[in-house]
Amino acid sequence: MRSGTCTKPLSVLMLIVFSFTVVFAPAVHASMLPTGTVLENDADEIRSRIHDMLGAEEVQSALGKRGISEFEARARVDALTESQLRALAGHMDSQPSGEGVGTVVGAFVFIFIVLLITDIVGLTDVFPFVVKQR
Amino acid sequence: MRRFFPVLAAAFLIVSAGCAGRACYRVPDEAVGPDAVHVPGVVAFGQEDGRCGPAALASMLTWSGLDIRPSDLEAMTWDPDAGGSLQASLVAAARRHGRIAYEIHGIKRLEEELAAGFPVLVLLNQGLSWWPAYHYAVVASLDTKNGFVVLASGEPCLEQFPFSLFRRMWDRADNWGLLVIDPASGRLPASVSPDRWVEAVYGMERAQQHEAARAGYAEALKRWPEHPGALMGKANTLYALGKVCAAADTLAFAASVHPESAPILNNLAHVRLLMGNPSAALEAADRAVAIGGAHADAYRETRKKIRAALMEKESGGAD
Repeated sequence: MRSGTCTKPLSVLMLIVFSFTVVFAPAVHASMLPTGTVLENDADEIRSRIHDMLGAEEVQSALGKRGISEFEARARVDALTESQLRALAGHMDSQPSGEGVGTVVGAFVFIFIVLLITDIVGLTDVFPFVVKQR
Repeated sequence: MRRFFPVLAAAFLIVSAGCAGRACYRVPDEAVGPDAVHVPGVVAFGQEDGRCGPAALASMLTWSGLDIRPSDLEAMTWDPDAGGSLQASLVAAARRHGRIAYEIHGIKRLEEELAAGFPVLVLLNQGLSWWPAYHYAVVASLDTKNGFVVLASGEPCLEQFPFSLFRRMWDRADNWGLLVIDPASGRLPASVSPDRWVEAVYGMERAQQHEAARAGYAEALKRWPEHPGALMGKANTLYALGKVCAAADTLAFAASVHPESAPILNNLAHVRLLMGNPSAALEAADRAVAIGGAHADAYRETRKKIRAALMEKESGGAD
């Protein structure tokens, strides 16, 4: 195995970024569950939010650079299940921005969307819930 | 979730808040014409050196009834390296002060909320879409007929701007606006939706503002008495405030109107156990386990703990 030679630059970047972070495995305690566990994230609303983001010029150009058409990206988002969308929303809601794409927050979401798309095409493996294309 | 903080930090670098200073034209409340939608009592603070975020948030918090200065908010909201404030940090800072931070989007909502008596904190882009210069300001009035807005925009008095200019600057920053509301005021946004209000209150609960969150949930329950998030939130804040009996009552009601909600049953089981009623607790925990779902492991842990307590009680009784 030729290690390193087929590593994609983005994966390297994300590896560096994430290597500085601590991933907390949620330990299961017998305890009160937080209010957030009953707040419903409407899957359709999340889906339309993602579609709105995909309409942004900078997202499209970033996707284009990676050889993914807007049509293809939208088709993939539509293919996500309800629970995948909720998992996605869980990450998005770590940003308090409730709706729309704030400019600064937008940059974060933009990175996130690029990661999601690259994850789906199998370039990276950041989101465990994404089923890879073979 | 934690692993995205570095990405957030990277996003932070995009903030290049110019917060440019201008001449100041005083606009007294009474000078605003009859066609304007005007919120009286908005105080403008002069910003220092790029600190438009703390200045704008101080105006909002002052309006909401707190005695606060921009300098009090600097540590929470202003990043000296980036020379600006993240929207997320303004939202968090409002919540940490026991205020509901409710985001709005677009001109229609802006008009509605001003008409309802809420000033709106906005992010503006004073530059170009490809060369942004971000700035935070507070909208105190809007007069689309005569074409002007009145802003607290970093000078120590309110200023009047052409509406067309404001519109362009707001558009270039994605029309993002923020309401800051005292949950004890009994006032809800004009555009309020139950889920988004409860989410906003939950944000305050996460910021450990339990008393304020309790008031926010209570406000929600006045309008939507069976909202599951508001009931769960009310119970959780009561629990956090040490009012276990009241939390149990709320959860029992919540479980009666939402018998399908496993998290509610899980928490009901907990408080019942805590109140020394393990058999009633077990009944709730059994139902939670039977429903299962995203937190199935937690429900099983809860049941395990209750069973252990029951066995201890039985063996204690046999002695």
